[in-house]
Amino acid sequence: MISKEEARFLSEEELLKRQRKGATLTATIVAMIAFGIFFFTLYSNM
Amino acid sequence: MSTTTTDLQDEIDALGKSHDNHHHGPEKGVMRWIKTTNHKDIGTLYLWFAFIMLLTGGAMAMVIRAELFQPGLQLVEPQFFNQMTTLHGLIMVFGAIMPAFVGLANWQIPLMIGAKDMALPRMNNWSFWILPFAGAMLLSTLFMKGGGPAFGWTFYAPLSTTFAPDSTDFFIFAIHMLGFSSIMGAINVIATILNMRAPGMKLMDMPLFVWTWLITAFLLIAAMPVLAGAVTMMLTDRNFGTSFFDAAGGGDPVMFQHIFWFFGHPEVYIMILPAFGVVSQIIPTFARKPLFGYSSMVYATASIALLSFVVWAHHMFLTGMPVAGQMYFMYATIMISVPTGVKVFNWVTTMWRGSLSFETPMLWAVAFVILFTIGGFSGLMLGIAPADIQYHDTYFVVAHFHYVLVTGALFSIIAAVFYWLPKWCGRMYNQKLAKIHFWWAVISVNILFFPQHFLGLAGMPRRIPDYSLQFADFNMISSIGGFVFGASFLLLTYIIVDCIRNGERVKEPRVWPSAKGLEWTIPTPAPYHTFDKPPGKELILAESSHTGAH
Repeated sequence: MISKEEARFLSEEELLKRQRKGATLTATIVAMIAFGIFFFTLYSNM
Repeated sequence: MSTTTTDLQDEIDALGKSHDNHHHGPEKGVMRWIKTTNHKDIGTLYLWFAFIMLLTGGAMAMVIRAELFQPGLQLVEPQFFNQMTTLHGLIMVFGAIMPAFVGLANWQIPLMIGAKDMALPRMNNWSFWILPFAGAMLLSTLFMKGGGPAFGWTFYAPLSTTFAPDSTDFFIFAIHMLGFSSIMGAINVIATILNMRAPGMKLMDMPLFVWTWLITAFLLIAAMPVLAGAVTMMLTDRNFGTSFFDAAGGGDPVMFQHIFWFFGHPEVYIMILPAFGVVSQIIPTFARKPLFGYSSMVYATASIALLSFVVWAHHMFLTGMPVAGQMYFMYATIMISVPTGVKVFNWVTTMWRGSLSFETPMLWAVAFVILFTIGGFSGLMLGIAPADIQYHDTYFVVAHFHYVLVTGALFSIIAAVFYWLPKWCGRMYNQKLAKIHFWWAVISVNILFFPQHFLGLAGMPRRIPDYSLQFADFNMISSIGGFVFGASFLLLTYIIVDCIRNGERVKEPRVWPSAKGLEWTIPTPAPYHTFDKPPGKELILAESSHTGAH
């Protein structure tokens, strides 16, 4: 999350770009966790 | 580049290109809905889809109650009755309640955190458009050779593997798609809340609806892949010669139950935590007081979520568990009543000495608090291992989870729609009719489900099309309640459609004068694009529903 102080010096485009970068990283990590749980469920029953 | 009235997706595309590429409003016609990446459009799609599935699953419930109106076989064959109970459960859980909450999340989360849209708009579109195909595939099994799945919504092996009809493979594919959609939706919610909040909005500044959805999204990420794993193993057992759940091949059918309920119990909280969030938004508005104990509500929600992963085997007390296991699962289950009690206490305390008024959303919220608590108490009874031996697989269980999911989850969804609909469409519904509908529904739903407690305590098993004469009276009362409750949805449909088409226009941004929250600072109806400029910290604090005066 971008702080109020940081945001003050960012244009709207820069703010969106920063937010998007963080969102993509978050989504990738969360998706990997989900895949990990799926494969662990299968693996633990082999 | 001007950033007024643009789609977030267009802006994302434009960030990687040098030219301007933005729309100034929605497309026209059906393509608007197919191609949309706008969180409000997608929220609307989710809500209508959920409503259609609710009516479909409700029609199946009417078949079930009609068959149970009298002892003996009246209307349908036992095999078809089992298909109805199975598909009713699956459609209500995966097609109605979950998508309805995702619809509310899509509409409200960006508005409540001052974000322009959901973080991943194209994935949002995809998450939704998987659903109709999955739902259609699930329903299509009814028309296949051998009929649809008839093994109950819990699809225990070997009923769902060795002894299931061919259509089960389509059911498995539908569950995979529904799960995939839910996981993508959860990823989007997490990324949106963690990364797209207005600058300066701290986690503890977020409205409780946003908090409950953040925690729900993590539950979805942890639980849905387990369900996907379970149905994948079912698929390979059925078609590729594996024996995960086949005792004859060295597998273990009880393992299926463990895996299913490791998903299934958190699933219950996936369906009820956002309901807690909705009620926590509505009660302060109509009590005209800040929410009592905001931080304890957040911690209670997180505690419930954590505990939901360590209690699954309370659904399996009768599978032959060591006494130590029974004791552990019993105590862990009963522990959930502590954070849940915190929540009920906080809602009541928020109302205490408030300047209460009972507009339609508040009526539904108060009904939720009372009736959900009844469902919680019967859950406590079921969590007591020695007592569960008597209650297990009886109508007491049916009564319990319908109090939680109908008068809990569904009531909160109706409350949310009546709370936010005027903001969404800029029109007010017929409040008199809405109140008539409330009393109609709340009385009939109790006639429908309360007698089922007595049936269960007297020993009537669930999932049977016929029963002993001693259960006749309560079944008849329950069926009459069911038909009346079912009919109430015709009035609900009329109220909503009438509101959207002919409702009295509302212009005030704050539709409910005592409401607090960023969503009430934007014009009414909510413009297609909102928060092109994120709100400032002062506005965030001023609009907090848990601090300051109302």
